[in-house]
Amino acid sequence: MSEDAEIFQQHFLHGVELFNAKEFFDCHDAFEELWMEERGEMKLFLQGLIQAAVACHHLSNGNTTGAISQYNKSLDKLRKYDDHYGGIDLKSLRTGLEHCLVGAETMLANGATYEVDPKYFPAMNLISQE
Amino acid sequence: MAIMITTECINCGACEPECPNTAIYEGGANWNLAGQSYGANDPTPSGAVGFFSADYFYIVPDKCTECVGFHDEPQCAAVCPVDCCVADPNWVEPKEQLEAKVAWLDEVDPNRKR
Repeated sequence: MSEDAEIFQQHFLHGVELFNAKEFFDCHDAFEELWMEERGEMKLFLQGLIQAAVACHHLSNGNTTGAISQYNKSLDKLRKYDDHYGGIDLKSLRTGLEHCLVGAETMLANGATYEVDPKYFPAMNLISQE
Repeated sequence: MAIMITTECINCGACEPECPNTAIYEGGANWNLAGQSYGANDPTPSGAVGFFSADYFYIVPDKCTECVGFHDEPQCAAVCPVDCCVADPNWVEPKEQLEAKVAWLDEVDPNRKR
């Protein structure tokens, strides 16, 4: 692995850790640094992850409208990729994000904002590289 | 058409330094035009109100030329990771109007540029 690829991987894994720790704002920041430097299909993938983190951030702060829009934008991007793209279990992540989207839409339809249990948010699970 | 920032903004600040017209301000901050400082309830010279945000970054419509005169596309939208810099449906302006706005800004506020 080249030095650049190693640095990318370190930053990427840091973003994954932050997402799984429900530190969604910091997670978005970590992925954004990578997103600004990347081009092509990886750039769009990273943007999908950023938007997933921002959606969760908005939902945890009661911004259901913002969350719904960001979940939709994130899913539109992440659906373009293979289930194991980027070394994460993208299939389960997408399922989790879809679940959150339904929750946010329900909140909006009910005209209410509920506090969201952190356990409700999905995880980014790494795929073992064997 | 001026660009607006939606409530999806996460206040990352990526857009603000990219605006060649210094039309973008942090939530709650006063905005400037031609050396004058304006606050939340002040209308723009064209009469625009309601663009100010106390919570997230906002764009002053009279200062936004959609980057006409500077770039091929709005730079705020290009660098926004959450795609929340979008065309403002309340401020639809054809290119000629945006070019006229650049000329007007150059006259009244030549020091705005970065």
